[in-house]
Amino acid sequence: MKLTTQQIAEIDETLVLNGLIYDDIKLEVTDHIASEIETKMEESNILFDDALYQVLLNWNEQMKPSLYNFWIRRKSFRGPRIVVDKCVSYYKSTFFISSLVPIPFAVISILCFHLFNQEIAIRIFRNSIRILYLLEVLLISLGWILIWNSKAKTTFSYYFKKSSYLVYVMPLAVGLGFWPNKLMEEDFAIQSIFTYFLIVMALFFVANIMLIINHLKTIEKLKLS
Amino acid sequence: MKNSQLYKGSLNTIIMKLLEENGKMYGYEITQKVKAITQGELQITEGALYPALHKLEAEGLLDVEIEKVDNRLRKYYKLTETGTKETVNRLSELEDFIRNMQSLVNPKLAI
Repeated sequence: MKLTTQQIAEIDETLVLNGLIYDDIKLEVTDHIASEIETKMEESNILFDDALYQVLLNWNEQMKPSLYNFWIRRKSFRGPRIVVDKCVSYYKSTFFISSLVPIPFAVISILCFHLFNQEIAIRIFRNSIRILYLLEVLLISLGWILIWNSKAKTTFSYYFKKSSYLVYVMPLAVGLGFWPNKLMEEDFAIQSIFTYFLIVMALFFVANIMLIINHLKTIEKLKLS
Repeated sequence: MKNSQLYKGSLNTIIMKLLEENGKMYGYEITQKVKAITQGELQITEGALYPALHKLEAEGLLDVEIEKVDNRLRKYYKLTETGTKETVNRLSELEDFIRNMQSLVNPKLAI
């Protein structure tokens, strides 16, 4: 027995009341619950309301409000468990990549500074960073506009809103002189750490761009369907 | 999920194997397929299924398609190119694991 549009809307409304407001997850949970209800109504010969009640009991655990503090404790993911779990799994894979991948790149960069003419290598690197900073700030700001303009909420836009502010930190800190540029630092350890963080921030920027792309792709798929 | 501790580590591989065989599937379909194949012995709960699907999607192993079915939207999962290659590796690892377990639990049946 197929559910009516009104019954689907009732499921949708129940999910929104439980805090499930992100389209990418909400649509699959709605479909799962609707499919379960249809099976229950057919097999047990019960009414929609009874089937909905029974099915929602199974989803209680996934709908429970959940909290995950990440990196800087003032920022956290909050919402139904299914949403928080998705954000955490994306966060963990991003964090893992952006923490480890910069190590060999930082080593190569520093070797280049020392092997070739130091000043020229550093000047090229420094200029590339300036361009990258400018691009970062522009593209992330554009991302905010695109997400705002899409007028839709996905877990990608939620994650982006939580994390993208960090992309502004490095350009502002270095640009305004709060964080001195240590590329010319004689101390190898300080120079290495500074270079490492520059690359971490670059990858972090890429991860945020991916969030914007994934959000827009999801919206596009929703429009096409 | 029945005997959840034993099955937990294999859930991602089970999902990938099903997607490899069926092309694209939606969440509820996966749970029903597993239930049918194992004759109800193994039942994947939504609490285990969706975090696994989302993790595989975040790792770039799965892609999603959205279609309008009946009067609602349905999200289908399918393997990406990387996901297809990774399925072969994971299945081979799982088979090795099963063989080793067989040798330990019942050496007479082990090949």
